[in-house]
Formats: sequence, C-alpha cells, structure tokens
Amino acid sequence: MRNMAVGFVEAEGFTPIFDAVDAMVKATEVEVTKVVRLGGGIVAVAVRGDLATVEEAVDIGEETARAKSRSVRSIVFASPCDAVSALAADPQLVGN
Amino acid sequence: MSSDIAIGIVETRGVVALSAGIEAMIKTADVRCVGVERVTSGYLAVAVRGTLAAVRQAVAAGETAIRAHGELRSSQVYPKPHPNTAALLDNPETARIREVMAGLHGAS
Repeated sequence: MRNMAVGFVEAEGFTPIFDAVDAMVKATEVEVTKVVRLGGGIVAVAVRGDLATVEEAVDIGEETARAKSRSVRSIVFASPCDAVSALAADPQLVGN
Repeated sequence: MSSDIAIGIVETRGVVALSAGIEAMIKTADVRCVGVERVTSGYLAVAVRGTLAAVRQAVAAGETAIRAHGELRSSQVYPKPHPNTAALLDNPETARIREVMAGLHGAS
C-alpha cells in the first residue's frame, strides 16, 4: 500500500513557518501534522495529502516563509519510503 | 543473517536534508532505517543497516541527495561495528521510528 505524498518546509524562526502554515491550510486542504522546533532556531512543518495538494501547499508555504526568513528549505516526496512517512506522521521524532 | 551488520550514519542540519537523505538511501540500496537521532541545534542523524556493499552504496547516494537539499554535516560507514556500538543505536529513542513505521500500514 503506497504511502501518501509528504512535504516538509523548514525555516529559521517561528513566525515564517507559522505564516506558511496559515497560508497552506487556507489555500489547500493539506493535512498539517505538526510544527516542530528542531533546535538551532530551525522550525519545520510536515504536511501530508495527495501529491497535487502537497505540492501546491509546499510551494505556497515556501513562498510565504521566504518573505520573512532568509533560509527556507522545502521538499516534497511523491511516494515516500516508510521511514520518511514516519517522520511526517510523527515529526516529534526529529523535534519537539 | 550475520552479513548485514554494516551500519551507515549520515548527519545533516534540518529535516528537509535528512528526509532527502533517508529517501535516497532506502530507495538506492537494500538497507533498513534503524534509527533517527536528534543532535542539538538542528543537527539530525540517521542510521541505516545492511550488507556492507548496500550501506556503502546507500550512504553515497544519501550524501548527494543531502547536498542537493541542505547541509551534510558528516557521514560514516562502519563495516563491522562492535555489538555494543550497534546497541547504541537501538535505544528507546531510536526505536520509536520503528514503531511509527510499523504503525503506518497497520493503522490505515
């Protein structure tokens, strides 16, 4: 059974990611699993859903976050392996 | 079986680079993810296990993927780790990812 598409957006600082999440959930019906602090000022958010939604959401999220923070990174996995899906399902594995 | 005891570890900054690395490693060679470690200040490490050839191949692919998506802090292949060293990777924190992975398909 393939895992559903997964995306991560991370930036330095909380507000860029908070703006990104707000923009993402308004524009698409992507599922935001959790926002986690990785330490070192990095805050990340994991999103799940079908591929088109996740891609759209991550684009919007990165754009919004980039307006406020200089180093923003994002990635989308069309059919992630179990380990990556686990990270998206429970981002507390990498942050709190 | 005893031959798949080699361990490969890559360390990145940020979860975007880490997930890119994990995806590349798992899909390149026949290795399994045994744990994710949270090093402080944004650094994260992941350990994979398998035969030496598979681990070496996976770590090479993982490095390239990580460099494309962020910062690769370090990576290392351990051909024949001592059981005690390997046990360092099997503590409750690293076991959690295995539980979540198992639950992925079980739940839905």
